[in-house]
Amino acid sequence: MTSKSFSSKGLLGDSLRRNLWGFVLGGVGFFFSLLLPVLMTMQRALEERAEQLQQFPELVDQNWQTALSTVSALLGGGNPFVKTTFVVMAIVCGIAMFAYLHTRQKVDFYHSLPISRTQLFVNNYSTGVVFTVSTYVVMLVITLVCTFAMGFGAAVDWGAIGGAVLCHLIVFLLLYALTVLTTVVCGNTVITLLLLAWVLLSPMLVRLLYSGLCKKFYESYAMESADMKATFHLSPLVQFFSLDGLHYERVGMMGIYTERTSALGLLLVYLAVAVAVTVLGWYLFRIRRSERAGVALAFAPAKLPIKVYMCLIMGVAFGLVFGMIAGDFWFWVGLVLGTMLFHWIVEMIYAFDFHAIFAKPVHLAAILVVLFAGMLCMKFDVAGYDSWLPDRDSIQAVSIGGSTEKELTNPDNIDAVYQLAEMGTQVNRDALYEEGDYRVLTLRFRMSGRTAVRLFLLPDDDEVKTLCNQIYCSEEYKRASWPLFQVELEQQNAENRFSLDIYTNERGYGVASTLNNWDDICQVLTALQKESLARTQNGLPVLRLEIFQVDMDGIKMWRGDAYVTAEDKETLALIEKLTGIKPMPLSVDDIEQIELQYNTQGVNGDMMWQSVEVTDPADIAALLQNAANRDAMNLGSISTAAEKGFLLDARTESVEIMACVRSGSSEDWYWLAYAEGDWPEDVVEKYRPDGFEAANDNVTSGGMSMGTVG
Amino acid sequence: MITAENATKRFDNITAVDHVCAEVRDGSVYGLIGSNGAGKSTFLRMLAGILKPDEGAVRIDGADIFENTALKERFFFISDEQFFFSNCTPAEMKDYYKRFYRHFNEERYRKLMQGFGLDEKRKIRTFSKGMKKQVSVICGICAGTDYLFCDETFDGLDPVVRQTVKSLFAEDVESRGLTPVIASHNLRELEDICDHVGLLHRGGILFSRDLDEMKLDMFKMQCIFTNTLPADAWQGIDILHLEQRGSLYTLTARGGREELLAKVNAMHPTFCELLPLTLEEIFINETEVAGYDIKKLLF
Repeated sequence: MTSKSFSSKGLLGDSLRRNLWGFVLGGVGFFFSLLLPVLMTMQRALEERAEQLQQFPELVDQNWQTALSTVSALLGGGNPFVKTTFVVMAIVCGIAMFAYLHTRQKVDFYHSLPISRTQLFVNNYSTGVVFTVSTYVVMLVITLVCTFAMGFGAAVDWGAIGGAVLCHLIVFLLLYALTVLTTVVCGNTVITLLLLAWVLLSPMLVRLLYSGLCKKFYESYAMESADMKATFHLSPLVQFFSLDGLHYERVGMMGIYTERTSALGLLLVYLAVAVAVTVLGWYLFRIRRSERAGVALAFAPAKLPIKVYMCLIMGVAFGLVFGMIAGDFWFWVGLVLGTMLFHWIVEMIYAFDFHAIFAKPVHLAAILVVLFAGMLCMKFDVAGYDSWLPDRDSIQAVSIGGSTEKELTNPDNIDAVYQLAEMGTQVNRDALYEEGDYRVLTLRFRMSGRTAVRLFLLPDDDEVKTLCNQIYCSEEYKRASWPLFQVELEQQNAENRFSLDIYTNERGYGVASTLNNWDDICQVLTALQKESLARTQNGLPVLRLEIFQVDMDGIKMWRGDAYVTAEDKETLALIEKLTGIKPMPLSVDDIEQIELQYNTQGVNGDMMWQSVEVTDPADIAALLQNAANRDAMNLGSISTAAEKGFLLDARTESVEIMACVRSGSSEDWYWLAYAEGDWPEDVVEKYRPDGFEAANDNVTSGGMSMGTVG
Repeated sequence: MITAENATKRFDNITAVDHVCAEVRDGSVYGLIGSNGAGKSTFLRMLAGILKPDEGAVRIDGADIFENTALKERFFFISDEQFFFSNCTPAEMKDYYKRFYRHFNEERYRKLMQGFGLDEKRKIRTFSKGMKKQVSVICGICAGTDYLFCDETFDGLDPVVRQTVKSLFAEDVESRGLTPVIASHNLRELEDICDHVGLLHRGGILFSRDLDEMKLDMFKMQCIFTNTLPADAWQGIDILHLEQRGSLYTLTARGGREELLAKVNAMHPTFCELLPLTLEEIFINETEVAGYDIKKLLF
């Protein structure tokens, strides 16, 4: 139509000219977040280089590489300042370009003009995008020119920059679309900001609250790391800051080092959501009634769902917080108070009138009924969460232990895990908690298309121990979970370099030797891999090999521990040949003294400890016989040690046997560990003080002991 | 021609415009009058395509106005609370309007700006309320549209400017068939310019009629009778309003001028003369007949 083309001609340009503040805001924002930090970093690096060339020439190369890495990160996806600017631009532009909808005067003006709502939406939407994208691109180009001009061209990684640009734009579009949608839905700018904060953060809050409720009501609930990852995905605002271009860093297998994973899938989902939200925003903009300017919500039908959503969430949030502070009864009080409070607040906001505080009591009552019904359903496990077991035939893989995501597919392991789960559900169903030791196990099942995680508290009886040890000692488990088998020994390259620090029982925390040669490392680890799979005895480690991955800058990242036992003859021989290290048993000569720490439960339920010093060399020798340095070997708790293939005696934790090693003026204390059946009972009982009877020694292998539970 | 057929607009529980039917003929000056909150602005905003009727329809030449850009190009809306871009000048506003109204007469715009003594390079935010209104009116007149919707446009204008604006409206009605629709709560403002009026009250329209027709059909008369008149003296005359002060009778009656004069003269008054009816009086009489206490409604 002629009139359409007539009115839309140059409208975007006009809109940009009339809103020059957008260019200023974007320009200033990206100047301070991109150009300035890069210039400052480069300037400082150049100054330091000039100084170091004269004083410490040997440090020049390493520091220059560090400077290049920093500049590269600032140019790429690792610049949090740029991300902050994008977030600010998304929110400010989104609101500013559509805030006219909140003022009757402006609505009358724009909506009486011969321009369709669609054209108006496209024009306003594009204006915000152009402000942000143009200022970012211009500032990035200027920064790149400066980078090359100042001799930092090597820091420019075009792939990383391209990925960062893509990531920034996609997340910006999503945040911008959400802001626009919220602005269109609201009739007031302050309410828009409140609702936007709710939109951006509440999905994450909902997930966390759901998790909190499950933890509260379900015995077998366990939140796995994938759940936490998904929780962050729900809030693009939070997720944005953990993204590095087209990758995001996630906590690695051992919970210490991080690994980069592709975020392309996530970004594509974000892009799709951004498009969907934009289309929804456009549709609502078209049907939005002009007369809704100035009211809290422009769409009356949205009032109730939003209120219910807010009240349910805040009711649960208050309940959980109250419950945490003051106990179970207060959970229910918090539930009521949170719901009522937010019902009042929302009604007051909707009406812009304090007198509306007690409006719609029926709604409030209905929300409370729904909330209580939901909570009671969870409390009495109407859905059968705790007694649920997957169909055995549908299980494709399992895993055991909370710290590993490595899957086991061997039918024997699946059967063992399934049996453990069956026992766990039986305990849950029949509430069969009795006085004794318990083992906490996190079991994960993968069926076709979904996974389920359950946490079980199992009596630490022989059956459970046997099943656990069967899994932990299986070749599949070792290959899947032990860091020893995660090292890629095929080839060495810049990104695949390793070093091994060797620790012995007798040297404690001090590194006995380090292996850096690739061939030596390969030989040792290959031999250990072979021998560790063939172990038949339950021994304790005589050597601990700390595996480090070495990056291009020479920075070592801990990848985990590998253990050598007395059974691993070939490995021990190799290490002795390469380093001269031969493990020695702990001897009386190395030990200054030994302290036995007994514990018992006091009258008021508190744990009481009493230390007894052992100085008799014969007793010390008896205590050191068959002992391993639990700290130097980094064995951890009994369950952790079991996962590493070492079955410690359960009494190891009931009486702590601490050995003091003096070296020079300093003394180090080590906790000793014993394999199952090697516990030095005679000496321990000989020194046991009155009132600390062994009958109380029910602190357990899995880290839990229980009184009688009904 | 603009037609409203049972146009209804509700704001939550309030019915601002209630089944209004009206017609605005092209080339006429339509006055939309009513007390505060009668629904004038709402009706006008429906005409301007800002509000979508909840029921009924508002049309121009048979086509619905809402979201009809082709129709919207044919009218210009001057709101009671005009909006100007922050920090902009009249020239910038004119450029903006030019983008949407293809017949915008820039030459006339300059001439009028000069005539009104307005500096088109000065920031509008520094203008007084009346000056801002003048800018809106000038832009509206120069937009070259077929219809001009004015919401309380004469408020805040001084008497000279008010008369000038009325003259401009009249000129455009005469020269190019402009159809101004002017909403006002002030009857005296509209009396000398409107040729058709619609009275809105509490969302409903009381009537919509041609002003000349109403004036031809209704007269005000003052008579003096020295003799006491019998009770049935006024029988045969369609009296709308009768007031007696001693021997002086003031009456408003419906009927033809000659016929009325003949009937009253037949009663042998000492003195008799016809007085001009104001718009206000016409409405008072009409609405009293309709059962409304107009004095409470309008002022």
